[in-house]
Amino acid sequence: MAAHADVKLAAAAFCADLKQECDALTQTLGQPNADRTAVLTRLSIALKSLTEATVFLPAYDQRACAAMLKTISDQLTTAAPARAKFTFASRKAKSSTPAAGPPESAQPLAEQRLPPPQALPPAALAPRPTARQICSNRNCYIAPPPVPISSAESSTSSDVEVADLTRCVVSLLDLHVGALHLKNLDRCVLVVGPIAGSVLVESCRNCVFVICCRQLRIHNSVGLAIPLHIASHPIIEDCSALRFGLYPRAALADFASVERFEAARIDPNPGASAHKTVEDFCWLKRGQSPNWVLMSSDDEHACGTEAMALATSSVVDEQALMDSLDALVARFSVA
Amino acid sequence: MGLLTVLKKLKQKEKEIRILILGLDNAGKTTILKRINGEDISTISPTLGFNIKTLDYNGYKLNIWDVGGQKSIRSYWRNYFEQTDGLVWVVDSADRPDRFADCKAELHSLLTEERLAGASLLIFANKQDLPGALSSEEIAKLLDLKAIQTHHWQIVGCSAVTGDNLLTGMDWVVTDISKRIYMLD
Ligand SMILES: Nc1nc2c(ncn2[C@@H]2O[C@H](COP(=O)(O)OP(=O)(O)OP(=O)(O)O)[C@@H](O)[C@H]2O)c(=O)[nH]1
Ligand SMILES: [Mg+2]
Repeated sequence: MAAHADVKLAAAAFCADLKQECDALTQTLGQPNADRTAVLTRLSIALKSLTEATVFLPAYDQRACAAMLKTISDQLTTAAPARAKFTFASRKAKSSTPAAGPPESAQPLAEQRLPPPQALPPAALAPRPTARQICSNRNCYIAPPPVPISSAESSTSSDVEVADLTRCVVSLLDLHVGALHLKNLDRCVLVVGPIAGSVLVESCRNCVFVICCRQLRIHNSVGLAIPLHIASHPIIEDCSALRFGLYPRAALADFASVERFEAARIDPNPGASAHKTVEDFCWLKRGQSPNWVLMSSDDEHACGTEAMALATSSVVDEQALMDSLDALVARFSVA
Repeated sequence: MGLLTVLKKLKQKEKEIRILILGLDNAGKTTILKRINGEDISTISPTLGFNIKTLDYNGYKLNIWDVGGQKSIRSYWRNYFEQTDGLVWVVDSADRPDRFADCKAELHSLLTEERLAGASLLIFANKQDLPGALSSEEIAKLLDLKAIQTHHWQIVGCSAVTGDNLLTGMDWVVTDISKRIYMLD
């Protein structure tokens, strides 16, 4: 009986302490120039003490305490990019302008490609028969042929790995991609339609990626321009000189149709894209991370449509293609 | 009656189980948690911090903690070890080949943690719906699970997107834990 009272007392004291710490953290986070890393550390300590207290804390108190800590954690996560506040109205206004121009040409886009598809036979390199790999190439145009949608595969889409390319234009528009890994790409332009899962970018530099996906995780990369439609917050880790903008919907009408958005279970409404709420895991301090910016609306439009034009280009001359690639990269993605 | 006995009794009465979900970034931890809890999984962002859910499961109250796996925040994992009854290690079965080495190293280093010593270990070989996914047998080999002598473990192939086998895995871990802490008292 006496022990029971002790437990109750201990629980009450614990909750009071935790409440006090949470209030202090909220206050700290509210201040300009708050040291967010210090808050994260204190939050972790509080969390640890809560974990230890679960032995004697009644379930209700556990939940209440966890909820308090979760609120702080959410504030930490959301407050960082919050200073760049945009309304849906301004997004809509932007996205409606690019819609004006007519498509590049009336010819079906599929027939405009440069002839030689450079995708290496998957069996030669892929550790898994069904994953697709495109790798080790330079100075070329790469467009894997469409995957026939067999009845067996119609509901799923494969994962694709693109690695070790220098100065290449890569069009994945004809593929149904489940998850996309981009690794060691240098001065490349890559365009892809809606992806149901994640895009993981690792060690890339000076590239333009036109991406539509559920999640985007960029590591250890520098000098990327990314016109983007995304269902969650893009995150970056150990990166610099990244630029984000709107996905060029109008130019991609054929490859980013409502059906393809639906197949990837991504909300096609441009206002639903979270491409402006980038989270930098290496910048927990308050204030804009110095490692990324949003492109101006002129830039995002030009970058997206020009990359798209390049990826579906009818230019047969390799040299001309490489020249356009260099120009695009120099203009939008050099750090 | 000592305090410890009382505490043990209290815990027994509520039949609480604490489960910690860890794994590399992008493995699908948050998607699994939300899927089990019947929430929307279409707009999940990578986790900076943690999520916690309490659910009633076969007469037990599960406290499930899901912690972010991005490299820069893995050092915070250890703050969540205390009192863990079950560790759920989630693997992206269709991951890039070079990430499996990382995955194996992180898992084996967790298993040397004293504070996780008593925990049952469930490995979810997630994303089995992707055609490029490795089977749970292949994952077991890549992670060298056979070498694990310190923990009860089980590997289950699953998909957070289709929901396949999530409950099979949870059943195993809850049963294994409950045998240990509630029935064999
Ligand atoms: N195809 C498929 N995709 C999945 C599955 N589970 C998760 N995903 C996708 O994998 C990506 C990562 O999922 P999350 O749940 O955010 O991963 P996480 O392990 O919580 O990642 P961190 O929070 O960074 O540690 C998302 O794009 C999900 O849509 C699955 O079973 N199948
Ligand atoms: Mg997560």
